[in-house]
Amino acid sequence: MRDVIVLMKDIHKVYPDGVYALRGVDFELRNGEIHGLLGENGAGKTTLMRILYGQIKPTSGEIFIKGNKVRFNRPRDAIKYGIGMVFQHFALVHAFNALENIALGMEPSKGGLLNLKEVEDRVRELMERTGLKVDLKVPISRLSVGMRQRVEILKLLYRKVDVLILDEPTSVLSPIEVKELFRTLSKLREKGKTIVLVTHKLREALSICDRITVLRRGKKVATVKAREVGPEDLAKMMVGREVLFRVGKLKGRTGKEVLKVSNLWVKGDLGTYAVKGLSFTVRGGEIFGIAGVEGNGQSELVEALFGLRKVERGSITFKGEDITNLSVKEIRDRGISLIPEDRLGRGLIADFTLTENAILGMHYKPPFSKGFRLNLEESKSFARDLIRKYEITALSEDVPVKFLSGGNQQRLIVARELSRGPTLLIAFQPTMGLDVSATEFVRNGLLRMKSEGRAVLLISSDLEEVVQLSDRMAVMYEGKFMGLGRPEEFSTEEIGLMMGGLELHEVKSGNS
Amino acid sequence: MNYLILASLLIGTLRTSIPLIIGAIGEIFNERAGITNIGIEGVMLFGAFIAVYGTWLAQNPFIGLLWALLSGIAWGLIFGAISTHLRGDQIVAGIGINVFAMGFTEMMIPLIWGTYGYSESVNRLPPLFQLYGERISYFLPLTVLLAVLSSIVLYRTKWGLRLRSCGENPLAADAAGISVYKVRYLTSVFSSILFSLAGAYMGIDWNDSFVKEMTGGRGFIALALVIFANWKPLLALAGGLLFGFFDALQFRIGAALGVGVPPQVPQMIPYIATILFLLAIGRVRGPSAAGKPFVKE
Ligand SMILES: Nc1ncnc2c1ncn2[C@@H]1O[C@H](COP(=O)(O)OP(=O)(O)O)[C@@H](O)[C@H]1O
Ligand SMILES: [Mg+2]
Repeated sequence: MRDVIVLMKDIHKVYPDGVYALRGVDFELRNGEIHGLLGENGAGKTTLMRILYGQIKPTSGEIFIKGNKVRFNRPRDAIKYGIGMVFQHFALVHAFNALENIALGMEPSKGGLLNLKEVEDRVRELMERTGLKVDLKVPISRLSVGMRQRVEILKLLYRKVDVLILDEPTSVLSPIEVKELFRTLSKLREKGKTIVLVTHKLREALSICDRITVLRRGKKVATVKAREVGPEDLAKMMVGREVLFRVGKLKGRTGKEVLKVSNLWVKGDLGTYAVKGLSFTVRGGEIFGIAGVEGNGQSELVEALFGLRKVERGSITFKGEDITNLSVKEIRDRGISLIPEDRLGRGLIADFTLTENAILGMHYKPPFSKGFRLNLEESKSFARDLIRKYEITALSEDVPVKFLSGGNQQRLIVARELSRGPTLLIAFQPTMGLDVSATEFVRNGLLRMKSEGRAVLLISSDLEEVVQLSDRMAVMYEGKFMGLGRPEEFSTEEIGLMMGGLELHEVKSGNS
Repeated sequence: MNYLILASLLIGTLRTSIPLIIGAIGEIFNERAGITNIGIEGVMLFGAFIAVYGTWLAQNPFIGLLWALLSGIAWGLIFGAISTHLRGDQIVAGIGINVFAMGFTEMMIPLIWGTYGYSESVNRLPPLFQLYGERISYFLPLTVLLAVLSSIVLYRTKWGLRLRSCGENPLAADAAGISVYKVRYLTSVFSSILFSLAGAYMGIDWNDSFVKEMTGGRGFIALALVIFANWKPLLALAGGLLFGFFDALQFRIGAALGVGVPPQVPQMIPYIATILFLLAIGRVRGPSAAGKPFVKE
């Protein structure tokens, strides 16, 4: 085939912990194209590209560069063959300026001394040719995210790569920065560079790519010409059909409105808005699900609801009472529980025993606490109760939870939170990384909460989970809901489109 | 007379500042590369001991110096392993080195020399020259040279850039194709050699015998000096002279007070000065990744 610059053949990858991330993927890259790599969370996009960049090794499979078979042991090998990658989380030294970062690892010397002047001359010339303007002399810590990304791209160009891999480059950028980035990418294409754009955003992929490869659950679905497809086709490929079987849902009796969120605005860590004017309600006896690809404001939403992050505008009402910006303790005390995303970060204390973790958050109240002292006997018998009732596999209630499997840790969190009898349960990625039986267990827990007339807010990037469990659902994209309704009102394709950034009314009217 | 006292105070300052400056520069390299070794004191003490022992055995101070060099390499490899492949707790390891060196050297004195608390006298290294009857050591110009060269290496060479990247963001260094572990091993060996030679200086140049706990906390003052110097070798040189001045002052005042005043009172001076200096500079920020293990994937 003419012009094939990279060919990856039958790539398999099993991570050391047993996750089967890629199951026989073929990937072909042609000289001078912008190639979109599209897929949901966990589809294996990053894994595939890290393999091409030599950062991790494939379990099996072959890679050819311009027809020659290669084996990369480290990124340096890939760079030698003209392949470079910009990671989602940039790899820059914040205390260094752009020049030092660009030079690092490939520093020209003169008389034994570092010659940054030579680097600067070359980088200035690159900036001239590509329009990527950056202040080269200030520390990275003082540059905006968009500027840092430019430094990363310049770093690759300085290393004379022909193939640039950009992993979700737009997820951290403002709309204007995205436009500028795309202009740069077009320019680089004109100069003969080949670019891989990893993304889950349909419109972006269609607007700039020549060809698009879609991955789903570690397999390649297809490689298509961007001109010949519409967002509907891509959405269908990305989400797939077989995943969306629907179980007959128990028609719980929905009760009173428990949680009401109005026009909520929350900022992310970068200081830009991550949640942009969300409004929704959750009633007793229902599960309200929020689907969407990770990193579209879900974490910030959950943290704001639970008092872990400041609400900038809008309000959160719980059982008619305004709880906006209350402390975590005040919010918990009112009857809101959280199954957090980060199990060992916010859910449990790894070095504490099962008993200590079981009473965490209730430890200062009777019967677990008497005056100044913890009532250990009471706490232990409570922990033993949980172990029995929730089928947690553990040697005893005295082992530190870090020795439990992920599934059993999650069971413990669920057990603790459910046993508090909350009016509202917020479940954030509750089954991520769990095996089948633990997943089943957690989902049944949520359904039981609902049948008891409690309200459940389920936020998950596992679309199947949201569709199966929710009575009503919304799809979140860049801090907004693209659509809200009952799961059975949406087709697979429509959900896929919304996850890729099209609003429901655009989807329904069938254009893009 | 006053003039002579002043001169001897100044010479004393130069003398006492040498181990502080060498120790601080070693630790600056460490922390710039992402290692925190608070076992400076222990490696120094061990270096002093081994230098005296080697000199005593061979009747040659240069052999003692060589032994101290080898001891520094060994400690550097051990600490390098702890802070890279073994991913140990560097603070605990540093404390371990200090405790071990203190106990081990004290225990060895009677086994070797049959005395308690101090060794026999040994030959010293030859001095560069004598001034007002005081020895001026070769270590003095070498220390100044070390500070200047260190500053050039850290800030003006590619090795310095790579080393500093490992202390700021090892992930970025790794992504740029730099072997973080290799850099940290080499740095640990280099710095421990410096600590050990600083100890040798105290055993066979400044003094002519080993005395238990003879480093007297100078490894810890060096640690404070790193912060005072804002992790910069030239500032460590200047700061070391300041810290050394109080150390020298302690001897002078101790001598002037004579008996009747407990010796611990003047001995506190350098430590109190250290604490006051650190309070005065307030919060500072060192290399971001110092003391943190680096784990890939
Ligand atoms: N370092 C890792 N160790 C173990 N599993 C991993 C690792 N990185 C990714 N995975 C898993 O591999 C799968 C594919 O992940 P990834 O390539 O990051 O997907 P994507 O970039 O498409 O979101 C996921 O199930 C993910 O959890
Ligand atoms: Mg990814």
